[in-house]
Amino acid sequence: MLQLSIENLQVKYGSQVIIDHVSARFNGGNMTAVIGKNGVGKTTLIKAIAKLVRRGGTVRLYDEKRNYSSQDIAYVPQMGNAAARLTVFEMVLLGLVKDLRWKVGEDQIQAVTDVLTRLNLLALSQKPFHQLSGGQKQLIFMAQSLVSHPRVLLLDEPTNALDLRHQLIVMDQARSYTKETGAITIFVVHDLMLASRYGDNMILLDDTQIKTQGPPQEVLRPDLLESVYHVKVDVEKNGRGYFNVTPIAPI
Amino acid sequence: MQQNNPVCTSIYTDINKSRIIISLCSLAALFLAVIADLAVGSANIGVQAILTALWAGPGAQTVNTVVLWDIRLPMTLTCIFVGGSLGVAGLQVQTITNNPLASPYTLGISAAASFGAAISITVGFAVAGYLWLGTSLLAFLLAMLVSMLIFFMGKLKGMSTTTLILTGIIMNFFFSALQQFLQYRASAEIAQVISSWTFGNLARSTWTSVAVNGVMLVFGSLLLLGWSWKLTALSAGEERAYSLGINVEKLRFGVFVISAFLIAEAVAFIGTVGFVGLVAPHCARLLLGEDQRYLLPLCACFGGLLMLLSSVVSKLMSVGSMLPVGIVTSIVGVPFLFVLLLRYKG
Amino acid sequence: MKKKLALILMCLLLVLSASACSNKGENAPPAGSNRQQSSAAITFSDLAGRRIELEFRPEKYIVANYIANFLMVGGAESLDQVVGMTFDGWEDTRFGEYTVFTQAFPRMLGGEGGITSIGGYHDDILNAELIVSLKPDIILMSNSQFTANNQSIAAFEAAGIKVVVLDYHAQKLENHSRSTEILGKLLGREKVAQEQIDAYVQAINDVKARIAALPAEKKQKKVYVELGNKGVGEYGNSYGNSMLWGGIINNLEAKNLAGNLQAGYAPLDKELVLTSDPDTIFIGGSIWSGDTKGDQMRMGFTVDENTAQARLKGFAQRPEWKNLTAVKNGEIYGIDHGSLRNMIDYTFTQYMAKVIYPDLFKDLDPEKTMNDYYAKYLPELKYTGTFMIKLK
Repeated sequence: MLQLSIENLQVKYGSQVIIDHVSARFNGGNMTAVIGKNGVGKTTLIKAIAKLVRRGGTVRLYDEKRNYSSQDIAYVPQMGNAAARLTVFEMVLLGLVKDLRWKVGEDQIQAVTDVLTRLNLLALSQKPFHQLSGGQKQLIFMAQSLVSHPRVLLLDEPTNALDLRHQLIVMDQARSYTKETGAITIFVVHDLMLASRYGDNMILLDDTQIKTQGPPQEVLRPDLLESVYHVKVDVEKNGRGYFNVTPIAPI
Repeated sequence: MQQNNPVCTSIYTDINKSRIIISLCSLAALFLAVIADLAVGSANIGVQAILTALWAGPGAQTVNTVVLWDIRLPMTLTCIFVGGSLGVAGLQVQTITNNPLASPYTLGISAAASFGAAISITVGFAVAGYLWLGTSLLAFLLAMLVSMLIFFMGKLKGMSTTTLILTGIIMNFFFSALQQFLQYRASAEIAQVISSWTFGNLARSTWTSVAVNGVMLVFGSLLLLGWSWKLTALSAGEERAYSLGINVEKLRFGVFVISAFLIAEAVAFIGTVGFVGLVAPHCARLLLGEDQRYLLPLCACFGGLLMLLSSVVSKLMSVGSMLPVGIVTSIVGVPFLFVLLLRYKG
Repeated sequence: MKKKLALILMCLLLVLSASACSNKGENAPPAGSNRQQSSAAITFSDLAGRRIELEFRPEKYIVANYIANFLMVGGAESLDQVVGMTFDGWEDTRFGEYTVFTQAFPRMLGGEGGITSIGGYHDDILNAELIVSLKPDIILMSNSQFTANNQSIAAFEAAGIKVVVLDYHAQKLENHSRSTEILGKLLGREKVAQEQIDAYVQAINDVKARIAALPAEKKQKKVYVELGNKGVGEYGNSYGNSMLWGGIINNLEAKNLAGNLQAGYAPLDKELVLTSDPDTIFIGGSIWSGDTKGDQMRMGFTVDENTAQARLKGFAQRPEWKNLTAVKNGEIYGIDHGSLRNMIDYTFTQYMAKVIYPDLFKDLDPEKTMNDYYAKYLPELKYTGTFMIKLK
């Protein structure tokens, strides 16, 4: 089984420490949600795992057969105001940019086709990227990352600015990829309900450290949430088994 | 939906096929423009005579061969290579500054080149006895000097789009001011020569300029083509390119250096020519999209084409004295720009 | 990255050295030109310091500059040898000269059997193709044209056209003399050229000698020269001590108001003119375009005296100049700007000398000298005009 192990991860911007002595283990086929206040370092954490920022500590990705490198870790940013004028097909093709040569290989075209099919976006393949809706753009960003068959998928606030429908579509796609390929997905969200719904595990970051990690019921405890968010909350499970976190009043 | 979708695959290859066709058509247009430019000129040589002169080679000492081999051919070839260099440099400057309205002159390199030429003209600097060689050398050297300044500024503050644009603005103003000062202090005749240098004029072409421009264009383009996919990714979004594992800073540095060389050599011999570096990339994009494997060569092609058309127009419009091509490209380029503005969808 | 830079630099060096070699090839003399000859018939150094050797006297000329000087040395017949000259913009920039010369020599207007225009006054760049296709033996040009057309020189010489650089623009005695001497050699009019040089040198030396003999307190006159092309409302250019009119004033040991100019030429500050209170004022005139207010200074060919006087009066009546010494004494003069850069300009040195030191140069009649000069060397040039006037 695939394992991702991070030990004593530390990231500093100049003299300021953003995350410090962060350790965690992730198993293949599982999704982990990273939650915490704004600016606490959630994005920094996953960027550090993807080796996009300078980091101290170790990150190891391996299974029984072999070790993997940061090449197998894909980071998907927020789609923001991305307005590339490339076609959707070409955008997804760029996910393979490290391996693209002058002539695009048949297998590479096939990979793009596969991923677009999987995400039900094949019909859009000739459309210019900048003409897509926000939700579609985010899906294409994910497709870009999925096309290279990463072993670890890091999603940075993938549901921000998306409508309800696309929030679910994006997260469903991430989950199906995780379960089908046995990959590890770590995603940063603000919406605690989405976090607990899709996260097999959760990590609560506070003040450069991991305050708690574990399955949702262990992390979504009112006392923990209050101490981190400084808001009085009610936590309850609804009929479908999803956690609802209702903020009552600031402390 | 089937996993194996031949329709999707074929659409992509179809697009690439149509791009190849467009490229070939553009090359054909370029070839025709070359013929036109060689055929037009104040010496009024008929097509038959041109072919004869071409066949006779550069050694023969007839009026027609001198006109063709010593005057027209260097002009036409310089025209293509300078236009091509400006087209490619324009594309890359737009890419690394993330600004579709940038041109090769945004970085301030050509202002430095003009100043270098002004110094040379003022002091009468000659190399191997040739004044023009001195002027071109000094123009090139100053352009490279400023490029190094920008390079180190980038190392200091990070090679971001803001750094590039702001530094370019500073350089433009600074060197324009210096050049104007030189003109102010010079005699009326020297001041006129300096100011006429800033109008790019193909009459300044020589076989040397053909060689330098040609070699550097080919070299620079080959290097850039090796980075095509990374550049395409960069133009799709800096943030995303970075997260796809591309070292964006390093890429910008490399592209900047090559663009600086291209701009310097394009300007050093014949002076500054406007609009080509701005318009050629846009025309190419409209026809081909953003894939730099095709975009880059086509920018070179369109740049050369635009220059050749301007050259033909300026020759047809001139009676006696030659209209500098640098003026005509602006006139020819403006309608292009209008059309682009109308079609640009925000 | 560094490897690539090094590669580019190497390429550049290779290319430069390759083309340096190829350039020598271009400058090889045309085949068949090494006909058996003992020594070259005409040799001299031109005004760009180039050694010129001609086996035969040139028959077909292209005169890219100084056509007036050319004709003065060569005489009217020499125009028959001219197949090309710079014509575009001549009418706009020097209307008087243009009118008078084209009337006397209609061949200049082009057309069948006429002279072809190979460039113009806006730009120094000459039409290389046209020049080569006219098949001249020689092309005469100025220094700035030599600089601006440097790249075409090789092509001209490959086509067997000798390129000779003259210079009357520097307004230096030595350059005027040498240029005229070269014209004399080329046109086989050495005697005429020498006459003109002698007259020039002798006149200038005479003026200088007489002034040098004066005691210092007699050389205190303050002189203000302004080009009257901006009209009355705005001040035109004045010249520093090494340039054009300023150079002449300096040679006359008078105090040039613009003597301390940083630039070679520039308009003087209005206050400076007032506080300096010049004793003598010269306004340079010509026929320029853009005379929207009708008050530019007019002098030169075709200008009638009434017009010149009227325009000069306009300057004299500048409101802020009311109390200037020069104005109160009526020491206001007009001079023709177009007459500079010409062997004839020594008469203007004489005129200004006479104005500044009236007692010293009573025997001189510069205007008559000028008219006699034209009558002697280019009698075909029939002209009217006003060249040197005092405000009436």
